[in-house]
Amino acid sequence: MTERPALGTAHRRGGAAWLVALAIPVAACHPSREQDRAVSFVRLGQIALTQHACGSCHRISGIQGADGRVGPPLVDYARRRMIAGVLPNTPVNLARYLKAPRTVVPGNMMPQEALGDREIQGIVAYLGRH
Amino acid sequence: MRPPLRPIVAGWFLGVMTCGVVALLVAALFLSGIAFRVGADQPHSKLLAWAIHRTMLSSVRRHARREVPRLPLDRATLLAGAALYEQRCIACHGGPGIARAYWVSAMLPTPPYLVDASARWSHAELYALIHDGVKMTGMPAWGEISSDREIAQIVALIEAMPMMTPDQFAQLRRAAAARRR
Repeated sequence: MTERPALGTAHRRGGAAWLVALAIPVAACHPSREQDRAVSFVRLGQIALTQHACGSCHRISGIQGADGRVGPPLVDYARRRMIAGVLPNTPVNLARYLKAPRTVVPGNMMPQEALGDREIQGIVAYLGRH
Repeated sequence: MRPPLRPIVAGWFLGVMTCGVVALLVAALFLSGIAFRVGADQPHSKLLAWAIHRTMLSSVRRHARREVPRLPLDRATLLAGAALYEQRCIACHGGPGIARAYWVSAMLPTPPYLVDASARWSHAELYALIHDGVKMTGMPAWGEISSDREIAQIVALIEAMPMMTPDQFAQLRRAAAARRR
């Protein structure tokens, strides 16, 4: 008779472990976009680079299908010296360029995608690490 | 000594039944929406994204017809192609120096820019992509509502894109718009 509570505890522990195991993939599936403050800038940048189709023109490490050969490859970007041949490669300059590529370089093939401020910060963070 | 037949048959039967039950359970997980969420605000897992994309590439390559119309890349063809591209393509795919509509980045999969398309796809594959469309991407089967000639005009414009400057593309758009009026 005295064994019963022990068994109950084990059950409860098992149940809790099961719930945690279930919750981990559910939580892992949920990092998302612009507004979600829990998402890291690097992850936000990775999603933004994908969703703004940057890979149709650029080669970018870590982005699926990003093998375009229209613009310069963004592989090893952190060590690049200049942006588009006209701006020193600093985070501030990259943000400025992404916001209006055709203002920085008139006649530029690179279009002005509608990027949010956090998305731009995300792309800067992502490229700074790759 | 031969093993008796009965246990082997029973074991085989049990194995098949187990596989069947597991397959049904997995199918039930998907059909009930527990194992898959269709919401497009989350990217696919890397494996699934790779598998879907691989399937799409292989299918287009396999099913593209060998003999498709090819038009000369002259001014008349490009003007006609530009007029169609303006109506049907530019919102989702943008153009040289032209951004896609702002809401397109919310699509999953998101439509690509096409300046590089003629390097990724053969003439027949481009024709097939536009003519037949692509399931589960939002790409319409334009062949359902267009003549073969119109499809060939769009293909011609896309194939001419990497030979244009953004300014020339803008001029072509203006000329195509002026001709429509």
